[in-house]
Amino acid sequence: MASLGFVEALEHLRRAEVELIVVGMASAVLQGTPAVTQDIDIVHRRTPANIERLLEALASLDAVYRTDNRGIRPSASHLLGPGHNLLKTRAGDLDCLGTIDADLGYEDLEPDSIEIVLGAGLTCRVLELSRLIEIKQRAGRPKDLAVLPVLRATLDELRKR
Amino acid sequence: MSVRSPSADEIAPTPAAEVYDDQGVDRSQIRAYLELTPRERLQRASDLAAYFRRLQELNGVPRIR
Repeated sequence: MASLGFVEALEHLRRAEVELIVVGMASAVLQGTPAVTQDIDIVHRRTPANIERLLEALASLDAVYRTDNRGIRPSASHLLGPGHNLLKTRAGDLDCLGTIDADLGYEDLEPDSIEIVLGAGLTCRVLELSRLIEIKQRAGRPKDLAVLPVLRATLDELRKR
Repeated sequence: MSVRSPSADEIAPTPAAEVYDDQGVDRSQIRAYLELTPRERLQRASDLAAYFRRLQELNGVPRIR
């Protein structure tokens, strides 16, 4: 299904001026962690105007829920909630998360995010590596704990620069 | 053309301690990744994800989350 890639997915969302923070391993990758991830996780700002922009961008990416075979498209009510919307798009898997960790939404995470340059005139907000490490430590699942050494090593290398 | 066997010095493996840190992480990979732009890093991750998806389609390899 995916004819585009993660870069195009993020470009699409940002060109539509969707306010979002990339979290999860994609944020680690963007900051320099050589890791494998199979999707992009974003936390979006849950305001009606931003949801409208997000819905438009998702429609142009042919986004549907990937955990359901009926091809259900996300709606405003889905995206306004705090839950996780696990989508497949023609640019790969994309998880639109209302909140992460202990019910942290866009506004809670924004102070601990940084803006990175994706391309000419296009920036994207990502969750800072140190905050991502804290969240993964707290999550404590084996898959989160397994990536901590490489995340910490990346943070260490970044601080040496 | 003559063929010679490499000497022991030429094929001596690098000691693990020179490759990995105390957590088993190869720092040289991270330093190399840091030389790429964020866009290039994400593109690599995307290519890998596409590769894994294809493997999954072909062989039923379980999704890694």
